[in-house]
Amino acid sequence: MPLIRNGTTNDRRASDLTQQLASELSSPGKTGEPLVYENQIGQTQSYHVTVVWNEWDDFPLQSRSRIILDAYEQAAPEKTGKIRIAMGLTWPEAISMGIFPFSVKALLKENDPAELKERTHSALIEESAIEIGGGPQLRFRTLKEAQEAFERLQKLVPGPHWVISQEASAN
Amino acid sequence: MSPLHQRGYDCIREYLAAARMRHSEARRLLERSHDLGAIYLYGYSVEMRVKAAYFHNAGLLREELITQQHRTDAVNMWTILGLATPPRPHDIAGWATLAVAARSTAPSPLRPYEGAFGIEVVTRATSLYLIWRETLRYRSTQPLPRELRDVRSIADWFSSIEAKMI
Repeated sequence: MPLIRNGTTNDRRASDLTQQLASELSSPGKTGEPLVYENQIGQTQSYHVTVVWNEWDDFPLQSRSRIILDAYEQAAPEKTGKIRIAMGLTWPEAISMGIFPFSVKALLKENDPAELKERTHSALIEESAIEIGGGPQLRFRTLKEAQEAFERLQKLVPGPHWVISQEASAN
Repeated sequence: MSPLHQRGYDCIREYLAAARMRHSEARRLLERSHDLGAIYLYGYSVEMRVKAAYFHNAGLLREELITQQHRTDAVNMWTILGLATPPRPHDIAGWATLAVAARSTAPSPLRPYEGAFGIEVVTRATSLYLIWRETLRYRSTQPLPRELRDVRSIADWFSSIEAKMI
Protein backbone atom coordinates (compact mmCIF):
# COMPACT_ATOMS: atom_id res chain seq x y z
CA MET A 1 0.00 0.00 0.00
CA PRO A 2 1.46 3.43 -0.88
CA LEU A 3 2.25 5.84 1.91
CA ILE A 4 0.37 9.09 1.43
CA ARG A 5 1.43 11.72 3.91
CA ASN A 6 -1.31 14.01 5.03
CA GLY A 7 -1.64 16.99 2.73
CA THR A 8 1.19 16.18 0.30
CA THR A 9 -0.94 14.61 -2.40
CA ASN A 10 -3.64 17.25 -2.18
CA ASP A 11 -1.06 20.04 -2.31
CA ARG A 12 0.31 18.64 -5.54
CA ARG A 13 -3.19 18.17 -6.96
CA ALA A 14 -4.10 21.72 -5.97
CA SER A 15 -1.03 22.98 -7.75
CA ASP A 16 -1.90 20.92 -10.86
CA LEU A 17 -5.46 22.22 -10.89
CA THR A 18 -4.23 25.80 -10.45
CA GLN A 19 -1.97 25.39 -13.49
CA GLN A 20 -4.72 23.79 -15.57
CA LEU A 21 -7.21 26.48 -14.68
CA ALA A 22 -4.72 29.28 -15.31
CA SER A 23 -4.00 27.80 -18.70
CA GLU A 24 -7.75 27.60 -19.45
CA LEU A 25 -8.15 31.24 -18.44
CA SER A 26 -5.27 32.27 -20.71
CA SER A 27 -6.54 30.35 -23.73
CA PRO A 28 -10.11 29.15 -23.23
CA GLY A 29 -11.19 25.96 -24.97
CA LYS A 30 -14.47 25.95 -26.89
CA THR A 31 -15.93 22.92 -25.16
CA GLY A 32 -15.34 20.65 -22.19
CA GLU A 33 -14.17 21.37 -18.67
CA PRO A 34 -13.45 23.44 -16.74
CA LEU A 35 -16.39 25.68 -17.53
CA VAL A 36 -15.67 29.22 -16.34
CA TYR A 37 -18.44 31.78 -15.87
CA GLU A 38 -17.02 35.21 -15.29
CA ASN A 39 -19.56 37.98 -14.65
CA GLN A 40 -18.29 41.50 -14.58
CA ILE A 41 -20.44 43.68 -12.36
CA GLY A 42 -20.58 46.95 -14.25
CA GLN A 43 -21.18 49.38 -11.41
CA THR A 44 -18.24 48.19 -9.32
CA GLN A 45 -15.88 46.72 -11.91
CA SER A 46 -15.83 43.62 -9.73
CA TYR A 47 -16.09 40.00 -10.85
CA HIS A 48 -18.12 36.97 -9.85
CA VAL A 49 -16.45 33.76 -10.98
CA THR A 50 -17.97 30.28 -11.02
CA VAL A 51 -15.91 27.33 -12.23
CA VAL A 52 -17.75 24.08 -12.92
CA TRP A 53 -15.33 21.18 -13.00
CA ASN A 54 -15.60 17.58 -11.88
CA GLU A 55 -11.92 17.67 -10.87
CA TRP A 56 -13.00 19.60 -7.75
CA ASP A 57 -14.48 16.47 -6.26
CA ASP A 58 -11.78 15.84 -3.60
CA PHE A 59 -11.51 19.44 -2.46
CA PRO A 60 -13.58 21.37 0.08
CA LEU A 61 -15.23 24.50 -1.32
CA GLN A 62 -12.83 26.85 0.43
CA SER A 63 -9.81 25.18 -1.19
CA ARG A 64 -11.50 25.47 -4.56
CA SER A 65 -11.96 29.23 -4.05
CA ARG A 66 -8.27 29.51 -3.20
CA ILE A 67 -7.30 27.61 -6.37
CA ILE A 68 -9.51 29.89 -8.48
CA LEU A 69 -7.92 33.01 -6.97
CA ASP A 70 -4.42 31.59 -7.46
CA ALA A 71 -5.18 30.73 -11.09
CA TYR A 72 -6.44 34.27 -11.70
CA GLU A 73 -3.33 35.63 -10.02
CA GLN A 74 -1.28 33.80 -12.64
CA ALA A 75 -3.44 34.28 -15.71
CA ALA A 76 -5.19 37.61 -15.12
CA PRO A 77 -3.53 39.42 -12.19
CA GLU A 78 -5.35 42.63 -13.01
CA LYS A 79 -8.63 40.97 -11.94
CA THR A 80 -7.49 39.28 -8.74
CA GLY A 81 -8.29 42.03 -6.26
CA LYS A 82 -11.66 42.60 -7.92
CA ILE A 83 -13.03 39.07 -7.56
CA ARG A 84 -15.86 39.23 -5.01
CA ILE A 85 -17.13 35.68 -5.48
CA ALA A 86 -15.03 32.65 -6.48
CA MET A 87 -17.05 29.47 -6.52
CA GLY A 88 -15.92 26.02 -7.61
CA LEU A 89 -18.57 23.36 -8.15
CA THR A 90 -18.69 19.90 -9.65
CA TRP A 91 -21.41 19.23 -12.22
CA PRO A 92 -23.63 17.28 -9.80
CA GLU A 93 -23.29 20.08 -7.22
CA ALA A 94 -24.06 22.80 -9.76
CA ILE A 95 -27.09 20.88 -10.99
CA SER A 96 -28.37 20.23 -7.47
CA MET A 97 -28.11 23.96 -6.77
CA GLY A 98 -30.26 24.74 -9.79
CA ILE A 99 -27.50 26.57 -11.68
CA PHE A 100 -28.19 24.61 -14.86
CA PRO A 101 -31.97 24.21 -14.95
CA PHE A 102 -32.17 23.54 -18.72
CA SER A 103 -31.15 20.29 -20.32
CA VAL A 104 -31.08 18.87 -23.83
CA LYS A 105 -31.36 15.11 -24.09
CA ALA A 106 -31.95 12.46 -26.72
CA LEU A 107 -35.56 11.30 -26.80
CA LEU A 108 -35.33 7.69 -27.82
CA LYS A 109 -37.62 4.69 -27.64
CA GLU A 110 -36.64 1.16 -26.64
CA ASN A 111 -37.15 -0.13 -30.20
CA ASP A 112 -35.27 2.68 -32.01
CA PRO A 113 -32.47 1.31 -34.22
CA ALA A 114 -29.07 0.90 -32.58
CA GLU A 115 -27.57 3.08 -35.32
CA LEU A 116 -29.78 6.03 -34.31
CA LYS A 117 -28.89 5.53 -30.65
CA GLU A 118 -25.22 5.61 -31.55
CA ARG A 119 -25.56 8.77 -33.68
CA THR A 120 -27.46 10.69 -31.00
CA HIS A 121 -24.95 9.55 -28.39
CA SER A 122 -22.00 10.68 -30.57
CA ALA A 123 -23.70 14.03 -31.24
CA LEU A 124 -24.16 14.62 -27.50
CA ILE A 125 -20.56 13.67 -26.77
CA GLU A 126 -19.40 16.03 -29.53
CA GLU A 127 -21.29 18.81 -27.73
CA SER A 128 -19.48 17.86 -24.48
CA ALA A 129 -22.43 16.21 -22.78
CA ILE A 130 -21.98 15.07 -19.22
CA GLU A 131 -22.89 11.63 -17.95
CA ILE A 132 -25.56 11.84 -15.29
CA GLY A 133 -27.98 9.10 -14.27
CA GLY A 134 -30.06 8.23 -17.34
CA GLY A 135 -27.39 8.80 -19.99
CA PRO A 136 -25.48 11.76 -21.43
CA GLN A 137 -27.12 15.15 -21.41
CA LEU A 138 -26.24 18.76 -21.97
CA ARG A 139 -26.98 21.25 -19.21
CA PHE A 140 -27.45 25.01 -19.55
CA ARG A 141 -28.10 28.08 -17.46
CA THR A 142 -30.48 29.71 -19.92
CA LEU A 143 -33.15 28.63 -22.39
CA LYS A 144 -31.29 30.49 -25.14
CA GLU A 145 -28.14 28.40 -24.62
CA ALA A 146 -30.25 25.22 -24.64
CA GLN A 147 -32.04 26.28 -27.85
CA GLU A 148 -28.74 26.95 -29.60
CA ALA A 149 -27.46 23.49 -28.67
CA PHE A 150 -30.79 22.00 -29.78
CA GLU A 151 -30.35 23.62 -33.23
CA ARG A 152 -26.82 22.25 -33.56
CA LEU A 153 -27.98 18.77 -32.60
CA GLN A 154 -30.85 18.96 -35.08
CA LYS A 155 -28.29 19.58 -37.83
CA LEU A 156 -26.18 16.62 -36.73
CA VAL A 157 -29.11 14.22 -36.30
CA PRO A 158 -32.30 15.65 -37.82
CA GLY A 159 -35.69 14.49 -36.63
CA PRO A 160 -37.81 14.39 -33.48
CA HIS A 161 -34.99 12.93 -31.42
CA TRP A 162 -34.21 15.85 -29.14
CA VAL A 163 -35.93 17.47 -26.24
CA ILE A 164 -35.30 20.55 -24.10
CA SER A 165 -36.51 20.31 -20.53
CA GLN A 166 -36.43 22.58 -17.52
CA GLU A 167 -36.15 21.46 -13.94
CA ALA A 168 -38.75 22.90 -11.62
CA SER A 169 -37.52 23.85 -8.17
CA ALA A 170 -39.09 21.77 -5.41
CA ASN A 171 -40.30 24.25 -2.84
CA MET B 1 -55.37 38.48 19.53
CA SER B 2 -54.35 37.72 15.95
CA PRO B 3 -53.32 34.17 15.02
CA LEU B 4 -49.74 33.19 15.84
CA HIS B 5 -48.57 33.27 12.23
CA GLN B 6 -49.75 36.86 11.86
CA ARG B 7 -47.98 38.22 14.92
CA GLY B 8 -44.82 40.24 14.36
CA TYR B 9 -43.65 41.28 10.92
CA ASP B 10 -40.75 40.67 8.55
CA CYS B 11 -37.78 42.95 9.21
CA ILE B 12 -34.03 42.60 9.68
CA ARG B 13 -34.26 42.78 13.47
CA GLU B 14 -36.87 40.02 13.55
CA TYR B 15 -34.91 37.83 11.12
CA LEU B 16 -31.84 38.07 13.33
CA ALA B 17 -33.77 37.39 16.52
CA ALA B 18 -35.40 34.36 14.88
CA ALA B 19 -32.00 33.18 13.59
CA ARG B 20 -30.61 33.24 17.13
CA MET B 21 -33.64 31.31 18.42
CA ARG B 22 -33.47 28.64 15.69
CA HIS B 23 -29.72 28.31 16.27
CA SER B 24 -30.21 27.82 19.99
CA GLU B 25 -33.05 25.33 19.41
CA ALA B 26 -30.86 23.40 16.95
CA ARG B 27 -28.14 23.13 19.59
CA ARG B 28 -30.61 21.75 22.11
CA LEU B 29 -31.89 19.18 19.60
CA LEU B 30 -28.32 18.13 18.94
CA GLU B 31 -27.66 17.63 22.66
CA ARG B 32 -30.54 15.14 22.63
CA SER B 33 -29.27 13.39 19.46
CA HIS B 34 -32.12 14.68 17.27
CA ASP B 35 -29.61 15.13 14.47
CA LEU B 36 -31.86 15.70 11.47
CA GLY B 37 -34.04 18.15 13.35
CA ALA B 38 -30.90 20.00 14.44
CA ILE B 39 -29.67 20.24 10.84
CA TYR B 40 -33.09 21.46 9.74
CA LEU B 41 -33.06 24.35 12.22
CA TYR B 42 -29.37 25.16 11.74
CA GLY B 43 -30.12 25.61 8.04
CA TYR B 44 -32.95 28.05 8.74
CA SER B 45 -30.74 30.02 11.13
CA VAL B 46 -28.22 30.59 8.33
CA GLU B 47 -30.94 31.35 5.80
CA MET B 48 -32.32 34.13 7.99
CA ARG B 49 -28.87 35.58 8.59
CA VAL B 50 -27.95 35.78 4.90
CA LYS B 51 -31.35 37.25 4.03
CA ALA B 52 -30.98 39.81 6.81
CA ALA B 53 -27.52 40.65 5.45
CA TYR B 54 -28.91 41.10 1.95
CA PHE B 55 -31.71 43.45 3.04
CA HIS B 56 -29.28 45.40 5.23
CA ASN B 57 -26.83 45.75 2.33
CA ALA B 58 -29.68 46.78 0.06
CA GLY B 59 -30.31 49.75 2.36
CA LEU B 60 -33.21 48.67 4.60
CA LEU B 61 -33.29 49.79 8.22
CA ARG B 62 -33.36 47.20 10.99
CA GLU B 63 -37.02 47.70 11.81
CA GLU B 64 -38.26 48.50 8.32
CA LEU B 65 -40.98 46.21 6.97
CA ILE B 66 -39.67 43.84 4.29
CA THR B 67 -42.38 43.91 1.63
CA GLN B 68 -43.13 41.77 -1.40
CA GLN B 69 -41.71 44.62 -3.46
CA HIS B 70 -38.38 44.34 -1.63
CA ARG B 71 -38.28 40.63 -2.48
CA THR B 72 -39.09 41.36 -6.12
CA ASP B 73 -36.32 43.98 -6.13
CA ALA B 74 -33.92 41.30 -4.86
CA VAL B 75 -34.74 39.02 -7.80
CA ASN B 76 -34.44 41.99 -10.20
CA MET B 77 -31.10 42.88 -8.68
CA TRP B 78 -29.98 39.35 -9.39
CA THR B 79 -30.67 39.95 -13.07
CA ILE B 80 -29.03 43.40 -13.06
CA LEU B 81 -25.91 41.89 -11.54
CA GLY B 82 -25.77 39.39 -14.39
CA LEU B 83 -26.15 36.40 -12.09
CA ALA B 84 -27.80 33.73 -14.17
CA THR B 85 -30.22 31.80 -11.99
CA PRO B 86 -32.41 33.76 -9.56
CA PRO B 87 -32.33 32.52 -5.98
CA ARG B 88 -35.12 30.14 -5.05
CA PRO B 89 -37.15 30.88 -1.92
CA HIS B 90 -34.85 28.99 0.48
CA ASP B 91 -31.72 29.18 -1.64
CA ILE B 92 -29.13 29.90 1.05
CA ALA B 93 -26.24 30.01 -1.42
CA GLY B 94 -28.14 32.33 -3.74
CA TRP B 95 -29.10 34.77 -0.98
CA ALA B 96 -25.51 34.78 0.33
CA THR B 97 -24.28 35.63 -3.16
CA LEU B 98 -26.88 38.37 -3.37
CA ALA B 99 -25.85 39.75 0.04
CA VAL B 100 -22.20 39.98 -1.01
CA ALA B 101 -23.09 41.46 -4.40
CA ALA B 102 -25.42 44.04 -2.80
CA ARG B 103 -22.65 45.03 -0.42
CA SER B 104 -20.35 45.73 -3.38
CA THR B 105 -22.85 48.23 -4.76
CA ALA B 106 -24.22 49.49 -1.42
CA PRO B 107 -24.54 53.21 -0.77
CA SER B 108 -22.19 54.88 1.74
CA PRO B 109 -21.42 54.35 4.63
CA LEU B 110 -21.44 50.62 3.83
CA ARG B 111 -18.23 49.45 2.20
CA PRO B 112 -17.66 46.20 0.29
CA TYR B 113 -16.67 43.29 2.51
CA GLU B 114 -12.91 43.31 2.97
CA GLY B 115 -10.52 40.85 1.38
CA ALA B 116 -11.79 37.31 1.08
CA PHE B 117 -14.60 37.71 3.63
CA GLY B 118 -17.33 37.90 0.97
CA ILE B 119 -15.92 34.86 -0.78
CA GLU B 120 -15.95 32.97 2.52
CA VAL B 121 -19.58 33.96 3.19
CA VAL B 122 -20.65 32.56 -0.17
CA THR B 123 -18.45 29.48 0.06
CA ARG B 124 -19.71 28.49 3.50
CA ALA B 125 -23.34 29.18 2.56
CA THR B 126 -22.91 27.03 -0.55
CA SER B 127 -21.33 24.22 1.47
CA LEU B 128 -24.42 24.26 3.66
CA TYR B 129 -26.83 24.42 0.73
CA LEU B 130 -25.22 21.32 -0.79
CA ILE B 131 -26.43 19.45 2.31
CA TRP B 132 -29.51 21.35 3.45
CA ARG B 133 -32.90 21.82 1.83
CA GLU B 134 -36.18 22.94 3.36
CA THR B 135 -37.59 19.61 2.10
CA LEU B 136 -35.64 17.84 4.86
CA ARG B 137 -38.82 18.17 6.89
CA TYR B 138 -40.27 15.34 4.77
CA ARG B 139 -37.37 13.02 5.58
CA SER B 140 -36.58 10.55 8.35
CA THR B 141 -33.05 9.68 7.20
CA GLN B 142 -30.09 9.76 9.56
CA PRO B 143 -27.44 12.31 8.56
CA LEU B 144 -23.80 11.27 8.36
CA PRO B 145 -21.56 12.48 11.22
CA ARG B 146 -19.59 14.55 8.67
CA GLU B 147 -22.76 16.27 7.44
CA LEU B 148 -23.82 17.06 10.98
CA ARG B 149 -20.38 18.39 11.85
CA ASP B 150 -20.22 20.55 8.72
CA VAL B 151 -23.69 22.05 9.16
CA ARG B 152 -23.12 22.85 12.84
CA SER B 153 -19.73 24.39 12.15
CA ILE B 154 -21.12 26.57 9.33
CA ALA B 155 -24.10 27.70 11.41
CA ASP B 156 -21.79 28.53 14.32
CA TRP B 157 -19.54 30.49 11.97
CA PHE B 158 -22.44 32.56 10.64
CA SER B 159 -23.52 33.21 14.20
CA SER B 160 -20.01 34.40 15.11
CA ILE B 161 -19.72 36.82 12.17
CA GLU B 162 -23.17 38.39 12.43
CA ALA B 163 -21.82 41.79 13.45
CA LYS B 164 -19.27 41.77 10.65
CA MET B 165 -21.80 40.77 8.01
CA ILE B 166 -24.51 43.23 9.04
